Amino acid sequence: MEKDENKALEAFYKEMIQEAGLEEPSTGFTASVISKIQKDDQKAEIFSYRPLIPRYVWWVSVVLLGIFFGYTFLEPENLEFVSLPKWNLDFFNMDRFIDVLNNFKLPDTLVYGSLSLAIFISLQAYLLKTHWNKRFVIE
Amino acid sequence: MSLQQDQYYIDKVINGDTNAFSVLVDRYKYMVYTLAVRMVRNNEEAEEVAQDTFLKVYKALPGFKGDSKFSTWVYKIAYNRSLDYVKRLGRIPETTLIEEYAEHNRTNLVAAIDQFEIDERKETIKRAMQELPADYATILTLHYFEELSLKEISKIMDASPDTLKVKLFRARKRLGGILKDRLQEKI
Repeated sequence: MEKDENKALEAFYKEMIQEAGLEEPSTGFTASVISKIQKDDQKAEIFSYRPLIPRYVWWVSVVLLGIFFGYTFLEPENLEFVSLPKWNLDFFNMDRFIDVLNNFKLPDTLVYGSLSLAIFISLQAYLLKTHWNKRFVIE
Repeated sequence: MSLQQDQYYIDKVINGDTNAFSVLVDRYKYMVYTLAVRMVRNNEEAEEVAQDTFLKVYKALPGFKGDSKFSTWVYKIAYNRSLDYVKRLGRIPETTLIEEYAEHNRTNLVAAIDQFEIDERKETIKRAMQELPADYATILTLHYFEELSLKEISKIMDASPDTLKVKLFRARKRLGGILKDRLQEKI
């Protein structure tokens, strides 16, 4: 009896809600969505990533560097005619600076602490990204 | 709408035919907009959220694997977009309330609703839906209008079917109560 009443109520609500129908968006809704998409596409084209140094320039540089170093290391005697200026660079006395660097020690706790923090931040970034991406996935 | 019917247009859109997307928008705009209205409770803002939903759908379309119905996937995005919008504005989405209403007798409800003229009835039901908490109105729309099972709705709203069953029951009671109040106002 109760089951029948529940079924009847289900049918009643279904009929009522279907009769009420859906809300209607504005008449230009679809056109507006499509125009926004087209605008976005154009923007993406304008701002698409283009490397500052094109790939071929990198290749040419690698080849030129290869030739230069190959020539220098394989045939050093060919460079004897190049006379480099002789400068006195003693005033760049780096010994003291190097000593300071040698004596510079961070406490172990700080090092381990920073390392752990870095690891946890990386882990958190990964977990958050996975979490937000899940919002658009249906299992 | 079956996935095969949608898939044809989905493939076209992925292959660069932007205009094919308008077919998908036309198919789902009413339900997406309705869900947005029920959640956001403002027609202009709901329109913005619905458009934003379709932009997101368009961008995420290459990642749609067809594991679920396309409509379910679109509604999930619409629901999340609406929820984000409401939260961003600092409005707290009204959810479960302590119920005061008892399940109404169907005969009384039928008699009550029949008192209204057809147009007035439609308007009254729509307004009553607007008064419901966002998640109640969403469940009622998806279950009774779109005829989705609780399992399908659980994918959209990220809640277990058991929780949704309880909410559906409460939503029905609440809607019945609001409609009865409306009738009493009329009398």
